[in-house]
Amino acid sequence: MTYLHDTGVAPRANAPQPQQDPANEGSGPGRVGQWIRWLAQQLEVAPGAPWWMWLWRCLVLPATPERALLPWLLQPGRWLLAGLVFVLRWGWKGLALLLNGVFWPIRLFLRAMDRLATHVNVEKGMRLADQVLSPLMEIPGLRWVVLGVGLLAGLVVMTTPFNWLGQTLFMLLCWGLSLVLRRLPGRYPSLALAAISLLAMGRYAWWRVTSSIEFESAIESFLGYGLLAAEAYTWLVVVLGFIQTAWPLHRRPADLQGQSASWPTVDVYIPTYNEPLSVVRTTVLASMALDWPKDKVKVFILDDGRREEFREFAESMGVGYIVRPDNNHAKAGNLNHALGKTDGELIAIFDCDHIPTRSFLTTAVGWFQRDPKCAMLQTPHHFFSPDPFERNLGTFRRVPNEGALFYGLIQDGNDFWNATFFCGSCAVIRRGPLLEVGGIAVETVTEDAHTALKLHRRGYTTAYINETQAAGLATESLSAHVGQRIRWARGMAQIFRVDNPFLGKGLTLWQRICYANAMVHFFFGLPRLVFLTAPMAFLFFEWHIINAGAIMIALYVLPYILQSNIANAHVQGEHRHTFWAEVYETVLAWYVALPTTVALINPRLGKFNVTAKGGLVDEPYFDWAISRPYTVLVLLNFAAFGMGIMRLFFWNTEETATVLLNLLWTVYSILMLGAALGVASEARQVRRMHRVATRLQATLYQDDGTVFQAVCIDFSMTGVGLELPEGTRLAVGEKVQVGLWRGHAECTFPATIMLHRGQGATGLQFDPMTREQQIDLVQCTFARPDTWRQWSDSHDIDRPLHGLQEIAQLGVLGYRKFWESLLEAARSRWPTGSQRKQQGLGA
Amino acid sequence: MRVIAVVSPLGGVGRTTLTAHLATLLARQGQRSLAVELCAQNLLGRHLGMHEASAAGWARAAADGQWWAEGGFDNSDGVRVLPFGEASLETVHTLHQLLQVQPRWLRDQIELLDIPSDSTVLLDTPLWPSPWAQAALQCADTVLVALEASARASAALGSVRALLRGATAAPGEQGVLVTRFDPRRVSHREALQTLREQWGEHLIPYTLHEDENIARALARAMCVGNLAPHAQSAHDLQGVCNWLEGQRAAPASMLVPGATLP
Repeated sequence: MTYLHDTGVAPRANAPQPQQDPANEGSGPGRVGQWIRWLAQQLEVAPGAPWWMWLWRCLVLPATPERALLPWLLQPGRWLLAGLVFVLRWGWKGLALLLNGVFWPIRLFLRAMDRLATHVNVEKGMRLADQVLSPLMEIPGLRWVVLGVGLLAGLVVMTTPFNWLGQTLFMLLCWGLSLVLRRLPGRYPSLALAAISLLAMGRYAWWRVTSSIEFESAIESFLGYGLLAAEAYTWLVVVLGFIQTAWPLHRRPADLQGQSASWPTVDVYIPTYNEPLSVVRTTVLASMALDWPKDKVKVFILDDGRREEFREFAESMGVGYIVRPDNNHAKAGNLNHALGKTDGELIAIFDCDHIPTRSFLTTAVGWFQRDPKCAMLQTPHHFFSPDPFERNLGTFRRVPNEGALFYGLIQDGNDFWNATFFCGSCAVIRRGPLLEVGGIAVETVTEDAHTALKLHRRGYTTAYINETQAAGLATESLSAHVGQRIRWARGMAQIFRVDNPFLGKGLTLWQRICYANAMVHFFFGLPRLVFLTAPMAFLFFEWHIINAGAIMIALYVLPYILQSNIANAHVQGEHRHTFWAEVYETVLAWYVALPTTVALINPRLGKFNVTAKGGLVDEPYFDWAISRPYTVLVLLNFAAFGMGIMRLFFWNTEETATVLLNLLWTVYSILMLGAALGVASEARQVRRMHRVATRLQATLYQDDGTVFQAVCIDFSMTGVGLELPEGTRLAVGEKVQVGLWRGHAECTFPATIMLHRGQGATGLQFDPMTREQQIDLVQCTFARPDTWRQWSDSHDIDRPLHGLQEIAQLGVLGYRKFWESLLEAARSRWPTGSQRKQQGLGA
Repeated sequence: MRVIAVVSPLGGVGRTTLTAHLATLLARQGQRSLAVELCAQNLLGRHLGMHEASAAGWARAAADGQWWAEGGFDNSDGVRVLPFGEASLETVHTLHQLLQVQPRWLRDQIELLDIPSDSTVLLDTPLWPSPWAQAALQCADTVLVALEASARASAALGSVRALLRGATAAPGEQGVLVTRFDPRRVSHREALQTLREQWGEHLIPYTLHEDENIARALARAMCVGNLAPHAQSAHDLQGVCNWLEGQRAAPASMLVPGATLP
């Protein structure tokens, strides 16, 4: 039975109704009744209402949607907001224009320096330097003398006090010099730039330690020394990083020697725990397609989940299948167990979703032949799916991702000092040395780096080849990503405690420095949190934790930031765009801080959590759990900003420079936190099987015998996307065959048209294929030696200021997404009146 | 003037198709081309605009002792065609005797042609071994041997080698082209693999796909490039044309992602 709410609203007063002229109607009581009805209509009193309702209605008309009070009161508020937005937008544009004009002479200067750089003949200079310096450098001991003299000179430059004029001149000279140097090719200009930035940093550090540590109260001392400690951490990391990446080795693959009968045997391990078979299948197929004599390579699936479908799959494919009765020590234990069951001379390890190209072994094994002491060779971890940063911020394939710096530069730099460490996958290890150190290390959760440390202590060498020979899936969601990083941070802190690289024998000084940097890098949590909250000390409580005038601070900090950005952009620019390190660290800081501290104190505490691969984000959502700490920080920073504005205009008008500096710092933190919030807003992933974008020659065979030329624009194991010429007539559901090339040979695969747009982009899904066809497919797509070669061609060039602007935009976007998610959550929690009413009417 | 001979010891591999299409592609690139049909099948004109087999041709004229190139015509693509023409058994016999008496007859006639000096003459030949095919081999600067992707072709290794020994073209100008290739068929893929091993560098990197579009084009008396410019066979034929122009490298777009289509 439908039940209607009596809302007490009569038909609208201005609804068209036959006008009843009360004066002309009937007579007597009927007439009075008509008068009453007419009055009831005008006053909008419901029939049968009590007597006081009539009086009330003389004064107050009933509420209707048009006459609601609250929205009408809020109307001016809305106009005010619209006006404010208008002013802000045009004000922003005006400000941008003004800044453009102000910076015009600086841009001229930049262009002049660039022009100067083209006149410098680097080749001749280098040849001259080689001719003169090389024979000199051969004199034993002279290198250390030169280093010593250089350090001494550097110390003098760093500790000479300047007044503001001197410091400004110094800054301008350094800046001009580095603008010229950054345009010159070669290693020496990079070294020179890094040296200049170290000088600027040294000057800043010296000034900071000597002239700005005088505090008036205990709390200021505590906070001040805390900030100094955080800054000292960054200085340490910069110095260690400079040494680590001073001379990237750029090792080329070594050619294989001898006949194929003399090549070593290789076991391929694919450890898996709870990943789905669809993810592991491609890796296994690609491993079977490796270019290596068939009798010298064996593939093994190491299944810690002991699943029946995996066993059947291994049997049908003809690969090995190894299980163990327990799951002690997770992946390390799994690998060690398999070590006992196999006997290949070399062991290639792939994570279950890292698909190797067929040239992996032919690229990697050469160095094992050339260098008998080589125990491990590592290749880059490449991801063909976007990680949470790239997906949620929309920077996939435009901006290099987080791992690009490590695999593109840092490991290359490590290689020069013989400090490349094992990263868990996409590597080849020699069995003998591995057994000597007792197999994969189980004492820490970062078993890979620890194993390499042990190998180095024994005097073995490791190698790194910076050519992508395998590719896999990135972490699927921010929570999975954070979980993985927590594990790495905890593991590195454990190693630092348990097997400190500075103690114990077997390592050279440079190896110790490289390992130390790898571990110390993960302690960024606390310092980053300090930097995000430091200005609040002044803005909230008026505590001065840096005891120096704001102008002097600016004069010392500015060259440091400027120089380090120029140096970083030159050295790291193609592997990491400027300012992105801040975003990565901001996102992870809170989560990494506690595990590293705990692990430093007691390495045995803490759980190990596995990263899940192959999960799907099917509905976009905002990860509230992960973003709670950022939300708190954001609120604090906004509050600090508000206090800062008040202080600027009312309370601390005699310390304008200090307030401005703190405000600027807070704005910077707010932008970075905004980008972090943006990462927490998970965008939708469309497919389970990630498509890899590419451009490959392809052919389309239709049933009627016609054959068309096509371009394959993306592929996965379940389907391809083809670009077909205009006017090709295809029907959805049509069965076709797709031809792809594997070297010279063309292989065809049965497929069905899934979607076809007139402009030519067509989506196809593969029909069930035989085992040979699946192997062929992997060889035509993932396992091509050149699949990943042109990956970074689509990256934008690093332009620091532009990058800062982009991050700022991402920050604003992050706040918008956060606000929208907040509104949506509120709306679903507290539905407004009209929504509730509509729900009631449905009964 | 450059003379290209399209020969094969196997029938039905597409010599006439190849001659017609290559002549059209060259003409489209601005090179004057003349397609001469030495094969009595008399089908060359069907690819190049004639809806019926040509009655006029060079065979009767040459057998009668007249100037052989009277029966030629130009088509709308700018290709000059000299078809065989209708010929009886006696005509063919007379022509064979002509060649026996004047082995250099074909070469002399070609040189006497009134065509620009930078044009290309393509010779469509009958099955080798045959006198006319031999004559074509002896006056050609470039030789294209057409083989289909089958066991027949891999078994013909000996005869193709003998064929090439009798050619006057330089070894660098001798190419083996695989035609009518359907990678959906296992036998074709295996045959191609075998042919690749047999011929190595002589094998032209482009393989001509078996494509219904060519048959459709023939039905309309066109070249496939006019009917369906995006057909795979059109792409392959363009590749062969590039090879003729001197680009001997493997096609870039086949192997390197990121390259754009030609």
